[in-house]
Amino acid sequence: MTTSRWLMITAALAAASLVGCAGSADGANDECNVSLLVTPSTPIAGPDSEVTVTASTQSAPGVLAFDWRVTYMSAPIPFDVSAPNESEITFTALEPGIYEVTLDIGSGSICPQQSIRVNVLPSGSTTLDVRLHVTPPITIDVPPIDRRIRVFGGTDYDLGPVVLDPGVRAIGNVRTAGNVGVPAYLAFVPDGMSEAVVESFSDAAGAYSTQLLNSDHEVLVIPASSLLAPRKLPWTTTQTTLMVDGGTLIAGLVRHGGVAIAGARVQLMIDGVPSTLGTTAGDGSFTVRGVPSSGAMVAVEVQPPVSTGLPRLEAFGTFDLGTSLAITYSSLLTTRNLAGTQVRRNGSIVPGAKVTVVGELGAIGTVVTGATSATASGVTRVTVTADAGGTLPSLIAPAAALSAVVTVDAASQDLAVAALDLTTGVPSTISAPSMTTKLTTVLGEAPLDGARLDLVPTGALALAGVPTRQLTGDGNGAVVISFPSGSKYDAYFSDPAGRSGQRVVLDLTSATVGTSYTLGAAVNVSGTLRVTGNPNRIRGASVQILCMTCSGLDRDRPLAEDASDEAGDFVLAVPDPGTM
Amino acid sequence: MIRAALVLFAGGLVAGCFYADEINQRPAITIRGEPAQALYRGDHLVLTAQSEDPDGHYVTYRWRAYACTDPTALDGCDPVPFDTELVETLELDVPIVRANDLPVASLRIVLEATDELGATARPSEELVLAVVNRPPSLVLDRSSRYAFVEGTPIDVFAKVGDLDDGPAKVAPLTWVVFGPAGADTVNALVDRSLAQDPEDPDHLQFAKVFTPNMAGDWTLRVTAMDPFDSVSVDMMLTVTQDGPPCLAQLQPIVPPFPVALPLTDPTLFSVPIVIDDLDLYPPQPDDEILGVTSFTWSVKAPGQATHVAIPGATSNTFAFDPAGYALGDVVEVRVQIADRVPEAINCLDSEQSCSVISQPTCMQRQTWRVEVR
Repeated sequence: MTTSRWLMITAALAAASLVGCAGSADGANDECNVSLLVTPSTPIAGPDSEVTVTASTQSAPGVLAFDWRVTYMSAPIPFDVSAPNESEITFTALEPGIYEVTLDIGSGSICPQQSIRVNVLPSGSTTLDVRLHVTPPITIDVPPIDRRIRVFGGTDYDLGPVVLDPGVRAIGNVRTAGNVGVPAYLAFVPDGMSEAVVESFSDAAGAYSTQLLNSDHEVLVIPASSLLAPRKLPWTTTQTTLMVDGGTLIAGLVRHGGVAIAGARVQLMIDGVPSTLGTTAGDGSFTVRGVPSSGAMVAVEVQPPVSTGLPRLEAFGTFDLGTSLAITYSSLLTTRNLAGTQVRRNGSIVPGAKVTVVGELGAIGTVVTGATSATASGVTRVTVTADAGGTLPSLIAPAAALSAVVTVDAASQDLAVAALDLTTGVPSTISAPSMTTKLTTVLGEAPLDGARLDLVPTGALALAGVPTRQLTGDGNGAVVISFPSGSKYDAYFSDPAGRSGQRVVLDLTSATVGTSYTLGAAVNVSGTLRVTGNPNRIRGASVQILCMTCSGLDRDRPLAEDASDEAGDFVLAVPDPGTM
Repeated sequence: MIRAALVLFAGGLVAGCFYADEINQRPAITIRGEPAQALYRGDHLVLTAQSEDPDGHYVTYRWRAYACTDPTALDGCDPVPFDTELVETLELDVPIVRANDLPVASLRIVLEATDELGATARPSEELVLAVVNRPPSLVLDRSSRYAFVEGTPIDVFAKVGDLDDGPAKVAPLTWVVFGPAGADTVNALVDRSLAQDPEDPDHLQFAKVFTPNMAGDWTLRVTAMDPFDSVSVDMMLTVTQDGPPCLAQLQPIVPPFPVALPLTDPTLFSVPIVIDDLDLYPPQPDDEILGVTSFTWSVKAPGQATHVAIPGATSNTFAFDPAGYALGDVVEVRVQIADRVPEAINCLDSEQSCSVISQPTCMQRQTWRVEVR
């Protein structure tokens, strides 16, 4: 046998082998695979906007027959076949929106149908970056995600598959160097996705088990025991132990002028990690356990006993925690007792009124370590209930310009906010005027029936812990708002039906409330949830759009929210960023 | 004269000088595959010819099939066969009507066979098969967005066909409702328009909206009738009462009792998902029947004996600011949910969670123990 003949036979055998593989339906690698490529990836709508979709096939033997369909808003639109073998089409995207391209391939084997949604943007689309937060249902053990997405103005947008990482099972123990298990609160923060926090608790033996993203994390550990210091620790996917210890004993002294304050609660936050809680002794001294680090920003909080009338103290600085903290309320800060003050409404006493005295105070003292000194601010919040004659019992508060939040009737949310100036003395009465009722209408393109209004208290109401009020508009979008006198709210108007986007109006008062508020257009952001390696759809996941640049609670208040349906699909109506 | 001839004939035989061919015999035939039961109009019939030729000759067959109403009557069959085949195996579709448009009631099948020398089987084999009307086909289906809860609409679909008479001859369908005691069976069904499937002209689709006024076992009996026959199909429907809503997701994590969740910052307590038959969260837009879950929030501060409801806190979120409490305080934040059916949560205030149906996977109350830090 000559070499050439040997090569021919070998090649023939190899070819036969390949043909056999391609025709096999058993091997995973032999399954017909079709992918679609869109060019350009984000077309701009217009008469000259040509969109090309190209099909690539693998393991699809024989002469292929391509059956294309293109639809826009469920209606078919024309296209041209632009490749001789029909594997490529071109269509004109006249209007912005979501175009759906579907391809069926006929061949010697069964090729799955492929479809792709093409997002066509309007010219001059403005963008808004937001966070997409997905919390899977508890029935599937998959960690949450929180990723940045971009919303385009003037058009609906399909995110396509939103793929969740099934993650890894993190099983381990929180323990001391002496191998003693530690019950603790755990907050795992994945690298690069700081809002996708997974919380857990270790049990009495220190054991924990939770599902985390398959990446490195930082974990906040707050032991239940006050003898162990909370810590922020690195965590890797192979790690099974979280070690805690007593940290550093940090000492200090709390005084009012030169007088020691006993029974005050003290806590430090060192670069966001809390210390243990300490309580001052009779001489004002305290100790807490923490993990100091050089240059760390330290927040000092002191909660004196109510009987002192002193406000809660806060101070921030890069304190040297190796030396004692000297926390001193200013001797100039005096208090007043409102005992005997009467609560009245329109001249009549208000029996059983609940009065919360609140106020924010600047420069109420200092916090000093060595050469480092910081000025402390304060917050007062004291609540008492008037007797049947509307007269207050003992209520000690700082001698400062404060506010009194009066709850006349809790059930009907009958409130009033009254200025309470204790600078020079104690008033004999606190006046709680009646509520003021205002009517406003929530509009979209037309009155929005069933519109929702969340009134988030600000100012004195917020300090008093008054909760958010949720109001619902009637069939004409009309909402009746009862304003306590002197109250302010941040108003969040929204449309649960998704016809319009959310609108926020800050510092809304009875004097500033408008007769109507028009909500801007909304665009729909849609997608489909999947889990890597899991063919099942994810039903019942919480899908939220959250503010990217907000802080505080606004960072957690969704701009839009939905639950994924049986197919794992979701649709979120978010405010339209508009077009230029 | 005759006697002389016989002598000559006998002499010839004996002498071997007289020759004659062997006589060709006729084949014998039978028809195989006669159906055991009556045929339906439109059925596909397969019959096979079987022959035995004593001479071993090759045999050819000729089938003729006649559509009949009464094969014994003079004009009981069409004079011309509707199918003629020269094959061993006859395959035919039973016709729907005779040439005179009368419905076919029987078939007359005639099989003839001839061997290669032209000998024909005598007699020819004949088969008379009864043909009956094929009753309509009827398939029922139902769907509901509302979990088959009493008082909510259920879409009921009927797909009807009739292979021999055509679907148009079957309509209209007859719908009868049977319900539990006290059920309103008269007003439970209302017509609903439904487009026909252009790709399936052999069937017609009909729809009704069925709104059961009470929970229980219901039966919908639908009858389809063609000119000769009818078929009834029963669809059982178990209608349920509106079940309680279930807390499906909670944020932040609920600590295992008696552990407390340390809180340092203002926190939004939230119920992102509630599962319910009708009043779920997030609410579903553009639906006049689906509603939204009711939320109530309460707080138990240090020194309080029980949880105190927070007026105005009626959304799925509750903002809690630990700054309103003293450091180290343990506060309980509680959410309770309800749907449109008023159902008291009768658990003790001290119970952290509660299920009105004693189902651990379906809680209507959950409590966070929070330590202010």
